[in-house]
Amino acid sequence: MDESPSKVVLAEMERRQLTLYATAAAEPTPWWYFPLLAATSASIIATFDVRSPLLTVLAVFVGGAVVGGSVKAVEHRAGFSARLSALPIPIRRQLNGYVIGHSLLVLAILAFTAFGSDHDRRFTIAGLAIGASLWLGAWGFQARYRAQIRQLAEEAGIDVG
Amino acid sequence: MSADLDHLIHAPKRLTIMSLLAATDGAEFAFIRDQTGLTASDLSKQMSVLSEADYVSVRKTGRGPGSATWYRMTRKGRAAFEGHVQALRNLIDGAEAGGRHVQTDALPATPL
Repeated sequence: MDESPSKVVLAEMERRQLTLYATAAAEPTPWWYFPLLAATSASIIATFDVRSPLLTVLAVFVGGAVVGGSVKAVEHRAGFSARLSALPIPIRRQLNGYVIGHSLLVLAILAFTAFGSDHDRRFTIAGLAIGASLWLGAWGFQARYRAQIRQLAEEAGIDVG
Repeated sequence: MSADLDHLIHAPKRLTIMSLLAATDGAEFAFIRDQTGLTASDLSKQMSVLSEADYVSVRKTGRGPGSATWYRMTRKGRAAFEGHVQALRNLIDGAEAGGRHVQTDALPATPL
């Protein structure tokens, strides 16, 4: 069947964008990336045990710089920075679900730690739990993201290697 | 929604570049070259046109062999691109609503 020229142009644009995500998804993430994010978040939360607001503020700034720097390093290596709002809709939904779900989990751990525990190192333990959940959650999300992108690319006839 | 085709973006090579940049918050020259299959000189020429129209911004990082040139779609460029995509969709909708053969959705001639 003949396709309208506009449809062909739009389909080609979508195909280009999908190829970009599929190519990027095929690239391995540096081994240190998720552990660093986990360690940074665990360290920030662990400062609550010291009860020094200044130390916590300092940890947030240093942690922010570390996370920002590592994100930049990964983007620099990949050659592009993905625009989350331009992700295919099924993947954007999955990402939103992961972010909301993980945020609720973090809040639940913090609430339990603050009101339900009197351990001397309770925020250090909570930080470790949150760091581990961040690591595992990000790893799991990435595995699902890659599988979904691969499936979308295969359906579109794109060879992702 | 009313939108017009943007003749600067409509050229196939620039449309390809803008499609890629629309999916990113910035991309490096070599990455765009590899993804589009354009030669470095051709890509450079097309990026100059887009940059002069203020559709993309340019940022150079590093010095010497490790230097890189990053491009990012500007707000003006994103609005123009979204308007262009909408115009294409309007053409499709118009052709389909009119019950005409879809080949009558004729695009204007495309300058390279």
